[in-house]
Amino acid sequence: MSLGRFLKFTLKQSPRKDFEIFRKLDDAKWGRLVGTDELGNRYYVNPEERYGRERWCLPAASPSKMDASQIPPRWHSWLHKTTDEVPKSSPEEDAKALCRPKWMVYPHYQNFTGTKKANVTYNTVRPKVQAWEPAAAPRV
Amino acid sequence: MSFVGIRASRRAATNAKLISARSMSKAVVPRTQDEIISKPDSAAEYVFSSLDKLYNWSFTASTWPMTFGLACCAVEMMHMAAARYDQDRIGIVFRATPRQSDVMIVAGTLTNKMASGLRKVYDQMPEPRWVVSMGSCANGGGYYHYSYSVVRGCDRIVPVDVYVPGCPPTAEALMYGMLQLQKKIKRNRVTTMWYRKY
Repeated sequence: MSLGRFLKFTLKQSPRKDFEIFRKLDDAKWGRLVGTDELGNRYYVNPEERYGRERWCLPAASPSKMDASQIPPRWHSWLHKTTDEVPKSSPEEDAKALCRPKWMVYPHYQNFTGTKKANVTYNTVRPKVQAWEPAAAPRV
Repeated sequence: MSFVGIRASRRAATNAKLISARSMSKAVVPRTQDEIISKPDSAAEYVFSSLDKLYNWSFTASTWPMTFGLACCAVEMMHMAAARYDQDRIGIVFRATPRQSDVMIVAGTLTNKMASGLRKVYDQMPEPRWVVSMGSCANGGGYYHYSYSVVRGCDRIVPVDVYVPGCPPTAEALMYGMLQLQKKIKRNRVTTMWYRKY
């Protein structure tokens, strides 16, 4: 990061906001707020940025709680430029616009691995292997 | 240490009230490791979980992987090291010796012939050590599951902490796996367990 870029960044918003952005992104980024998702993550765009860095997300979670899976699928596709369509932030708006498929979970939840809500697999079919109980004949 | 002691004794006074209130109100619910670390219940737990936090922090910021590139997954592992995903910014630097590495990334098909080598390298790593199994082949044999010469998952040879699915997983997926491993390391409670034992 150049000094010029850093100075430009400090002039754009309040020092408090600067601190938050630095803590969460490790980078000096500014841009236009595009929308907020149901988890409180904020999405920004700045067309003047270098190619591939125009769209980004400022997570709502603190740096220790941040996780890539906190981004809802449709915002994910917007971030990765699969689509230019901006998802609506509320479920009512979403239903009206008919842009959210019914199978998509709302509100989105993150990967719960390592917590109490972690997914635990279980088997529902008969075991394919027949266990053999060895019966050792007594030695004479 | 004295600073920790003062804080702990102060904490103990407030905790005594909390504990009595808790024991009266509801039955004991088993707590996760994460909860024990973030919300200690007693003064001793507070001290030891603080030590744990320090211990964990020192490991999370520098997880040096022992590279075990066996097949095409290794290429994706190199992508994680390269400019776009840049593992260096989260403290991951490849170390080509098992003696000085913390994590082993098993990237690729583990054959029967390589299995003894894998175990030997794992045994040479110092404690604490972690293993990340990368890709279908390392997770459970994958495409070569029914082959005569392939180990059906590297967890038959070494204990695995994180499984990264994919064939091969993207560099992004491996990076996510490494971040999950960091979270797992943060849940460690070595000194708290030692305290519980004695």
